[in-house]
Amino acid sequence: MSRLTITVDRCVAFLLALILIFGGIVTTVWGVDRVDPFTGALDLGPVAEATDKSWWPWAVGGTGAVLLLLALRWLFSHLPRRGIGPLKLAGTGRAGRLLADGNSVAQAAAVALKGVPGVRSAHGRVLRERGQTVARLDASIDADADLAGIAEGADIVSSQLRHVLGRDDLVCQVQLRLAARDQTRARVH
Amino acid sequence: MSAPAPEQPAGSGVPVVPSSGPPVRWPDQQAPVMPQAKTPIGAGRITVVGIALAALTGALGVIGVHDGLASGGIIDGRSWIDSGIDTFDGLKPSWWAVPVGVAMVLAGLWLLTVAVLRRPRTAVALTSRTGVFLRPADVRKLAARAADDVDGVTSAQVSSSRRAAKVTVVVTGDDGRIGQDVQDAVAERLAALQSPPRLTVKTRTGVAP
Repeated sequence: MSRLTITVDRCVAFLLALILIFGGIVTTVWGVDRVDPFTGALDLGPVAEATDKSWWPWAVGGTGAVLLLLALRWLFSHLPRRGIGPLKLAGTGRAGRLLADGNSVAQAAAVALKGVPGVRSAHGRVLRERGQTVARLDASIDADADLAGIAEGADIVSSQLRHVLGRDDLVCQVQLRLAARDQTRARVH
Repeated sequence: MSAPAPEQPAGSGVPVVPSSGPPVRWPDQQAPVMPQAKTPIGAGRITVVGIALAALTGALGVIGVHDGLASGGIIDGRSWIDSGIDTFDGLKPSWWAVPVGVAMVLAGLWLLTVAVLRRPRTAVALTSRTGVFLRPADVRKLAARAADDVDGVTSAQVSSSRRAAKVTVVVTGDDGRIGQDVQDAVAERLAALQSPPRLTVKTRTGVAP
């Protein structure tokens, strides 16, 4: 999901919130029937007249079709598709392109991270997240792992990754999670 | 890429993996790392609201297309908008409009907060030169385990917010020191966090469930 999608979500929600608040106040005042001009029976005559015009079917049908297409585009933009294509490396120019499969490189970094004591498994990929190109490594760690040691190992792997890709615009995200099953200790009470 | 090769400085925490190929010069510990990514965040309520609003927009689109076709005589049936106008036209003010209006205002205020609130963080950062993160639930597990390992503690539970953690331990007997011991153990375990939570320890004498 892109930042644009979230921005659209927020803007439309904000707009609908204002409409609901304003509409709610008007409805409440109308229900009390004591404050001009919100008194008396509801008069939808002007709207009814508009629906009789010759342009009405085109206007309402066209608007409906546009809304439908926008809604489908908006709905599909919520699908989690964060992967990116090959990464351009230094040296890319008019003479040719130098590309690397970011996911494969990140996966190799994950294999290196797996060598850090306390890390049970790891996998890596490159994705777009919150406007950044992120090399993401997910690692499962032992419950008694040395966190500082793992962070230090992640630093080294990160520097290797930077060294290999030679790109300064990539950022790193090593997401640790405790392994579901703890195989490391037995306790005697 | 592989784990750092023998040229790597000693004591880096990364094991040495024998390499069959030519020696590779890996960056040392002070080599520049990739910058830290933004802290991971969850989808949040705004995503659910966004999907619902998109579906609502789609429903409005269906109504528009239907009414365009029905009003143009392309399909049989009456325009839904005309039916709606007939239902509400001439409606007189009544008591039910007050609770409906109040409900609309409340729904609007809720939607307003959802629209402007930040999405929830799903991770806390460890101290590192690059971005290393732990899930809050895992931080609680680590704290509970550290407390559980203190002599005299039979069970431990941890609840936490973004900045504070409350450790509740059941102990076999409180000698007045055990609370401090638990606090020290948990603080040491969470010392690697970039912003360790403020700790509160509560002891209770009893038998673990």
